Amino acid sequence: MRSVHAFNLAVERVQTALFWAGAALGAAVLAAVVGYLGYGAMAFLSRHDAWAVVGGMSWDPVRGRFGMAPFWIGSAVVAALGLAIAVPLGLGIGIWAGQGLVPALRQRVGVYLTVLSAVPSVVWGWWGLVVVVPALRQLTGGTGYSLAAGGVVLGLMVLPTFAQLAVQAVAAVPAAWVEGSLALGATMDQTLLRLVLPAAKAGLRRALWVALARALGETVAVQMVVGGFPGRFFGVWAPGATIPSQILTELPLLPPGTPGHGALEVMALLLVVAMTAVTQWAGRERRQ
Amino acid sequence: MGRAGATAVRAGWVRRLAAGLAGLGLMGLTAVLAELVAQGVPHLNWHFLTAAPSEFQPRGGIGPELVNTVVMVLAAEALSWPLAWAAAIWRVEYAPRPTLVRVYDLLLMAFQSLPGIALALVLFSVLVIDWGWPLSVATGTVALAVLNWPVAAVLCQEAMARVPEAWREGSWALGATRFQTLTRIVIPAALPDLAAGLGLSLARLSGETAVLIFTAGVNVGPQWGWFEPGETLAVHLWYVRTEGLMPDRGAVAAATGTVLLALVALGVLGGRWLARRLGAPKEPLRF
Amino acid sequence: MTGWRWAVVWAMGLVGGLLARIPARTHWLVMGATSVFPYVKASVATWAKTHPGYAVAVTGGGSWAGLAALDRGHADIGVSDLPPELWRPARPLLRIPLGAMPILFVAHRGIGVGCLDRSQLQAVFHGTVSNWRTLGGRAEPVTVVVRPPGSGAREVVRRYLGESGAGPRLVTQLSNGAVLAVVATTPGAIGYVEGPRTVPGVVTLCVDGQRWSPAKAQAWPLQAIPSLYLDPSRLGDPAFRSLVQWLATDPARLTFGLFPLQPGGGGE
Repeated sequence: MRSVHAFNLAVERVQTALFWAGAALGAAVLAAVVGYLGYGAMAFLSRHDAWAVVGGMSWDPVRGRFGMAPFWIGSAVVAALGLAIAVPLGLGIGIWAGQGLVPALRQRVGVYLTVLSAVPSVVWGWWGLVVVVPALRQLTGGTGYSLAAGGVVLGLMVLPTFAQLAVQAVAAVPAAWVEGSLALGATMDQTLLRLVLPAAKAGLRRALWVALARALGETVAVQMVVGGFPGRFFGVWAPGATIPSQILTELPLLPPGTPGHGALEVMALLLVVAMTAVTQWAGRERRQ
Repeated sequence: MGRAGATAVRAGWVRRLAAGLAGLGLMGLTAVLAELVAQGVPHLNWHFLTAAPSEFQPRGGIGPELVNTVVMVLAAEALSWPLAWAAAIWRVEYAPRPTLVRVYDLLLMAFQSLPGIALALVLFSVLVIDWGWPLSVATGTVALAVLNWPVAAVLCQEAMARVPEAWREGSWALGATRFQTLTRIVIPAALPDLAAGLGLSLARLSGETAVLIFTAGVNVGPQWGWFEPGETLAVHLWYVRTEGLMPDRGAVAAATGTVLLALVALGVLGGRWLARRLGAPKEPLRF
Repeated sequence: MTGWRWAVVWAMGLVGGLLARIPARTHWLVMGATSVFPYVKASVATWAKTHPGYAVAVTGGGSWAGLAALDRGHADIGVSDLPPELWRPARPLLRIPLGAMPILFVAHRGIGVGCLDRSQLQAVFHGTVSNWRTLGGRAEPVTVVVRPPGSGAREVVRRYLGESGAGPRLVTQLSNGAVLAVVATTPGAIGYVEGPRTVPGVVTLCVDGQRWSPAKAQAWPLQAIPSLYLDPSRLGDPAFRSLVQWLATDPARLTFGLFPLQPGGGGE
């Protein structure tokens, strides 16, 4: 009996240490990644005019000009376009499946959306090259490779993620509330607009932030269709670049060890900061 | 339009608009997959699935890419899942000081939102350039494991947090240690959710591209090995569609995408199947 | 509790598998320009057949990345198609040209123009000519497809035509294959690629009245010279020297678009 107790105590001690180590290792890897980026970025910014780097409009690394504002604009435009497509469609799916379907059917839709949300970004990029770029070429008379193409591809790509969370948010509104509203004589539309959507607001906002974070960080699907930086910002229908697509494009020119590599680390660090801010928002919505 | 009585529950314009948008959205998404499958399936055959890829000639295959994808994803899961699980157990079961938990949550969230390209940048600099690891299956596996860790940690955390607190308290009240409670009560109860989560993370990993371009490379070696270049299906699709020179690149890209899609569906649905076999609760876990 | 034992068995299997595949061989790394990546890959594979004790890994990453890795001692051979004066190495390096790679202007089949001279090309790449009609072709707006800064091809074209102008119809693509794909599918597109490559839907333009042919490769005005860079002291190792010699003289170079250099080795 004593030995069993001693054994249990020993196991307790060992396993606590083990789980601590697991958590600490993960945290350490992240700290190392951010620290590495931060060190390189700070070293670079201290050698250059920080404002001209972060807010400058002129990017020409061969001549030592590192203004990365065009890529911020590109990222903002592409993400905004993507959300403009994903949010109405996703809200539609949310309301339709969250309130209009019986739970068994809703779960089917949920599984389908889960599979769709795991579809690799290259598949969306492939679709962009095959369908979106030629269509935009016909439509706008431009080259088709454009920020708009990136936005359309992103819109469809984040739609499953957004819709999935929207369905959950809408379905979480208690059925009794809805029945009560209908029993008091409100129409279905009034119930949806004045009860269900306000009640699901926190969940819907969280869905928005999660979709935005995914849109900001996407690299490959956007790079395939966005066309690359054409010298300056020429509008939505012209080629452009986002922060991630530009990092992918410039890594061969600015490999680690070259003086300009720090510019890429600045871009990556700012992207990490932006995305962490966005997901912090999402986390806050979730706790409410 | 009537506002009262029997007409009250009839669908109004908001409902119709929502249903219309939902139909449009689901059809749009389905159209993408249908386009891919329609273009890809005619090119699928045994030769394509097993042969080596070719740079300039038609009729190249994806055999090595298929092997690399499966091996790297499974190995990355084997590396990251135990660590993520340990971290999740620490977070859920050992509820340490609140400040520490807050710091950990913040770090985990930041890690989860780390863009693939930022991770690629750091891993390429450190592993490949500083430490001199070759662009290879092994390096790619490590990169995937780092990428997967926060995702798996959150999945495990949510799965175990769903086990009712009363069950743990009951177990402790009966004199079980924390470890016994964990292994006999919490983990068995969380197992279905864990299985579903594992399937989902398998699916996500098999589609990863940005990190692997710089850690596993865009070609395959003459024979398989941990230190041979390790192009995966997703990277191959990116490479073929953007840089490839083979004349049948359109068909190769679509067929590769179809195989990738099948792997993803296999991961998600397989995970759910396993979850059901293990006795999943009625309401599935929300990821 | 049996779950833990299985986990241990799995972990041991994985570690064992990892260790079993680590060969006790000499590892070398060749890194650099993507334009000659297929050639280096194929040529190294041939060499490795007769040298079983050596594992030579070949990775791309671009000319700058290859030279940077060589400079810091991480790569054994760097491959670069940049003009050599652009790179100031930290220590003396030996440069061994592999051959001359012609840079050809390619255009979408439908532009209705087959030949351009240097000033016309300049006008097109600077953006002063925006429609092929101006140059006697079809009424089709010009789309210019370029490689990113830092690629050898872009550097050679920049020296020939000057900097290409910014414009809303300027598309940047990462590699020869991507440039060809965009040119083939975009009406009115023009771009440049390294090495003679034929793709349906793309025509190779003649420049200054000169049509490219392998027989007259040496007279072609635009050439990149992909070269090996290495630390000369390494040549004391006979195996290393034999690899370098093989890479520089492998007869397969011609099939990959690498042509013999003019006597004197000039490229401009």
